[in-house]
Amino acid sequence: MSRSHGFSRALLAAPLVTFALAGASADELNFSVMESGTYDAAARQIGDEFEAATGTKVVVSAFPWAVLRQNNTTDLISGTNQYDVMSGGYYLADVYSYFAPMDDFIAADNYGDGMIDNLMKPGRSEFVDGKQIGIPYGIDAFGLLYNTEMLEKAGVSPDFATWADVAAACPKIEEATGAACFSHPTGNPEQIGSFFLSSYPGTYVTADGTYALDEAAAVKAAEELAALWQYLPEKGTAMTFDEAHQVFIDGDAAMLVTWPSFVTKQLDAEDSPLKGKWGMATFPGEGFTWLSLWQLFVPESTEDKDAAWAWAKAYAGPENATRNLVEHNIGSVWKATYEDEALAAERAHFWPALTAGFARAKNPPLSGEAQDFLTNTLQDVANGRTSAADGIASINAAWANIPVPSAMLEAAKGSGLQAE
Amino acid sequence: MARSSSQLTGGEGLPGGPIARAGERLGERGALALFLVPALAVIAVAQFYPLVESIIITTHDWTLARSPVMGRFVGLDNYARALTDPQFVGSTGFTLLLAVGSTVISLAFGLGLALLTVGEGFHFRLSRTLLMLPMVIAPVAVGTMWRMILAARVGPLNQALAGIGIDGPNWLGDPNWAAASVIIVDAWQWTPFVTIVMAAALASLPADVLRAAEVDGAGRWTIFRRIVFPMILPVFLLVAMFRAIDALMTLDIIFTTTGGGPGFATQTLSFWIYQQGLRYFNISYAAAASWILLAGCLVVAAGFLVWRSRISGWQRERGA
Repeated sequence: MSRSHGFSRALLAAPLVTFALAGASADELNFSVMESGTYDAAARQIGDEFEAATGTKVVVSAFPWAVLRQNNTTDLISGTNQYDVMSGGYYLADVYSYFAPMDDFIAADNYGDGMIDNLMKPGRSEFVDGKQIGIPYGIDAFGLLYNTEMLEKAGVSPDFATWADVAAACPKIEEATGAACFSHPTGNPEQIGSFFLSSYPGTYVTADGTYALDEAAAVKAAEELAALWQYLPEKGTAMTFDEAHQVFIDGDAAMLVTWPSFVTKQLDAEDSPLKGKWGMATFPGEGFTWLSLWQLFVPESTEDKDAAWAWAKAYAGPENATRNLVEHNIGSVWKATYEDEALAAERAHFWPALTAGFARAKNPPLSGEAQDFLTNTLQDVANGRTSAADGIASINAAWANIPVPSAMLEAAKGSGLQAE
Repeated sequence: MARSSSQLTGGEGLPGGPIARAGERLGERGALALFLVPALAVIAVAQFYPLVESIIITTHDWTLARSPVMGRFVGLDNYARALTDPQFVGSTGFTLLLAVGSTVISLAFGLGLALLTVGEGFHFRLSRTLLMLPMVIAPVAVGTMWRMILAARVGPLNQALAGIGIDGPNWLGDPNWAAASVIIVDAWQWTPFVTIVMAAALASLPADVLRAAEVDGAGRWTIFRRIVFPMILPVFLLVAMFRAIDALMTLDIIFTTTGGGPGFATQTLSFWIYQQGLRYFNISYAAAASWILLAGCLVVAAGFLVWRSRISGWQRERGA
């Protein structure tokens, strides 16, 4: 039995005690969550335990990311009020006003004590009018994973300061290994943002509160992106996550740019050809690493907010965090998880870079519409349909007509992404 | 034989009854109008009211995510904004390309398959039934299936092409090939519709005319070009109209195969309107764009109907 399994079993008793004290009273809670085999699996597992302890049944409704985003927003705007607790992130900014402030609950339970530093701050967690509406439960930050043998063979160090450094090393890597330089889930159009956000050092919101990129810096970042795209695997511009990961696992690419939580468990599996042969580098670029911070939101329309809060604590709280990491690879938002020596030793090949990424990671202060326009245009730049200069100009022109949600203004200010 | 109003109202069996008396007062036309009232009421509520409401919405500034109530009156600003929006213009361009490409391909293959499968034998009926399959699959399933088939690195199509020594293209990852892929998928799904309708049209042609042409020594191509095609042309134009309008409104296949990408390469007008209205909740802007699309579809439909009417008239004159 591995240490991680033993650890998770030891943790099973703790949540039951917590639920018993939670005080949930609703007969049923509807919870929307991403269908990924991780977040939804954890929700069903904890939901069963929650029902046993409190009598409240948690109905888990799981959808792929884009459907979840659509269902959550439609549910709120149409007043359907189907979900009592929702999973989401900053891309729900357009509908933040429909969520209940959680400050009183947070203060009453001193919730957040022991969480990763500054995670419950604007720009990382979600706020409206200074009030916190999102409770973090799963963290990830984009990662640059590399095949140690391939990089050694090419004589390339994985300490890249910028994406231009990566592009410069790519011909050497490809020549030495015969593999593509890097793999990436290019078929998911929004993922291209990870490169741009990390290489663009400028702001996203002007001093007078409209969306705009610093043109010169943005063009430079987009040009770096276009240069990088030629080092993808052949015909690799529409790969799914699974496909992109498999290319790396099969040794057809020397590096992989992805969300680490989607793949690290697979890379370290007993039958993985990369077990013991991969590492994670500090994410390059002068901008910021894209943060994935899954949060729980309670709509204003939820009748029993006490029960919703009890579920939020059960699902997102520290009691289940390590088990969620070990069994479902959900990144823990609690410091204690990373202080566990056994886990840290098991994950020494990537945790230092991963946790360094957490410290530097942010959400872009973009509404769904603004972000979609940015990433689709970047795809056009990367695929040569438009030049970097024209692409950035078209983004600024389109963004001029997209209002900045007030919550995003707070986030931009809080995370230093608004011009002064 | 004309029926009396008493027959229509059932008053005959009840002479002097209140229904019969009311029917007589209304007269035949009035009674007929009365029967239409429920249907007209349903149409008014289900169709006219939403249409009128949507026109009103287009003249206001309304983003549902910002407010549950309609914003200020902006006149025709939403229409003007859409017509000058590069995204709207670009989406319109690709929509036209898709409509023309998909319509032409499905008409050509559909008519060809109809010519091959027209007939009454078992194998003809079986062929037509099998050919219908793509049409009865939900477009979302069609898109998902083709997305897997067209995966450039691992999809079965490129694997099969590699098997015969052909280096298959980057179907969904290259902007030009992605556009071609979407056109092919849409045409694949709707070619059976053309086949079925054209097969019915071909089956209804008078056999004696075709036989007379054969007796006169006309070859197959001449018979098709000079007799068959002119005779089925009105039906062909009607099918072309349905296909063109359907292609102009393509959304589901785009949603499931390319998501409008890579970048904006395969974004159709319907997909763009869907995003504006139901993803970003810019309701008034999306409604204005929808009306522009509707107007475009009406122009296309009118064009086809006028064309068809002229050809039918010309054929009647020649026949006379």
